[in-house]
Amino acid sequence: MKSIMLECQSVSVNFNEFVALDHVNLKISPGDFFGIIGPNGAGKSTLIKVLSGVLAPSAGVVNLHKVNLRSLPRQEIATKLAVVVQEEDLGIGFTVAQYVALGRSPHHGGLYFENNFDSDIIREAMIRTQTDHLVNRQFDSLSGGEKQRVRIARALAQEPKILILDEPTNHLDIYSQINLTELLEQINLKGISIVTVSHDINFMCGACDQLKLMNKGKIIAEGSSREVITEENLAEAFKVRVFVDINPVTMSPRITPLGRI
Amino acid sequence: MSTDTALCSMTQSNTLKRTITISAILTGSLVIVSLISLLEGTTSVGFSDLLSSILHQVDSSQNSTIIFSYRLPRILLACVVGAGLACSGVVFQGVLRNPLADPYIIGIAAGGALGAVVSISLFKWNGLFSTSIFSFVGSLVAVGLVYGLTVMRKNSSYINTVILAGIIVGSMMNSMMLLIMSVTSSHELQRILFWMMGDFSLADYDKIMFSGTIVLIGFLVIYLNANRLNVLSLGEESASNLGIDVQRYRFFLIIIAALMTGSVVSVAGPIGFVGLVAPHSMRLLFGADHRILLPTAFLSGALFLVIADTTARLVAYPVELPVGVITALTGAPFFLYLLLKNRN
Repeated sequence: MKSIMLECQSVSVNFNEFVALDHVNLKISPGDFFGIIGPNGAGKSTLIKVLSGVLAPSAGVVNLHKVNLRSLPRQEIATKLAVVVQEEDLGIGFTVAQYVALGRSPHHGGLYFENNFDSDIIREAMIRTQTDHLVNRQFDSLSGGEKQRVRIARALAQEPKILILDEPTNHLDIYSQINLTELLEQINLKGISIVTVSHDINFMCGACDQLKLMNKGKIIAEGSSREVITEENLAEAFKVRVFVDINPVTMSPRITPLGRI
Repeated sequence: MSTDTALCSMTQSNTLKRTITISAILTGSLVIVSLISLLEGTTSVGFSDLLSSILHQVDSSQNSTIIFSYRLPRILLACVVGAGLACSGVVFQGVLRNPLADPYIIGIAAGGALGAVVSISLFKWNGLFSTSIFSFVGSLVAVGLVYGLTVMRKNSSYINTVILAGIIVGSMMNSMMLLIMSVTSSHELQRILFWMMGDFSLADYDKIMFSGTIVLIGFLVIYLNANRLNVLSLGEESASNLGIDVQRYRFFLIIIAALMTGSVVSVAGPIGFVGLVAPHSMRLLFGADHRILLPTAFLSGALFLVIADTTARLVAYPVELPVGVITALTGAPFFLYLLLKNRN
């Protein structure tokens, strides 16, 4: 049996009357690569916030290596868990190198200068994400796809055991999407567990080993993409009629939306 | 440039070396400008006169009086105030994630001014310590209001919200100040008016020691958090994911910056745009890394205000202009430039 790194035990989150998460159980073990899908408002982003410890659950507990996440200092969490969120990158003014270097901050105090070890890790993170040629560019001037890879480079510089991504394919063209899929596979092969949330079901089927389908704050189906991506499951969660077949090239399920129910 | 060379430029010794080199150049410029300012004025003093005044400190000649009792304290106070305003400008810009956040524009200096006026006028406490405490409290109240208004309207455009909240808070503070002044006796009114114009002609060594100590300690404390400021400038969620206790450090840094603003406003009056011009010039020249930005903004803030004050003394000779007029005349176009640059 694989050891469990991050675990949600019956986690619920309520925003006033609204139930965003309803007794969710989830386990992340070393090497896992799973995707969370579901309609808008299903609780995907809330789940990510709870998993990263940014949001406290109303009930239940999230454990990181069997310790309650909420009782751990933020700095310690950040050395084990990296999160790539969609963010407004407003006049930051950092170069790509400086931006990626911020990933080292969980390993240091309030004032530090990068040592050779830090530089090696930063360099490796940039090479792995193919962002090394952007090193002196201003982060603000990059394209959507480049920014996403640079954000991932920053996350890798944290040397995390778990990488969490929120909607990584938003605003990406198909070239960048393919690039991202390959990158995430490589990262996963290096032993980093990956959890990603996305609207893009076809992308998720191609990228993830395991899928979890959420609706109304609950996980309503989980397993391999063939187990989860069925016409019945998608009809229940998304309220749409879809046609599901197997992509003959990738051998993973593929959906074609037909209409509303 | 290859990755290796570029990455090398951010290793320990290089960032540190760069910070030290640029700071040394700025310090050198500051010394030169201060010397010029020391020698020039209604009575021009030759460099040899200056040397002889320094060598014979007991010399009670006219030159010596002009230099040590009038011009030197004025220059030193300008340094302290400029450095303090620039440093707190950097903090507000980083923590509020707003390039236009300047202690003056977002109403914090007005809060400090109101505090000082309350102290002088209502409580008749015009000692350095009491005005400073009131000024600090006023700055904090203003920061709290601006911050509160911004958080309440989180979904609207963030840059505009901070600026609008600042304008509202600032004009509220200013009108309360006018209200108090309208019921103040003429003797105190004159004192307040002088002080409000933002002027260094009443500089003395007590003021320099007092605000200088606060500014220097404040700067050191903030510099010890330079990397945290880098991370905080990414935004709340990212900073939290990078291991920063956002609430705690944001609160802590804002308090220190408000303390610095309060202490300099209480000795020199509200002087605008220094907290905008100095940090942004340095940002344009050397980038957004707070490890370089903080010390360079600190020094260039001092440099800017010494130049502005010297100009204020000399430009309309024999009439002296308030230094706030000079900083506003240079700062306002700069603000406009930044506003246009950041409109997207």
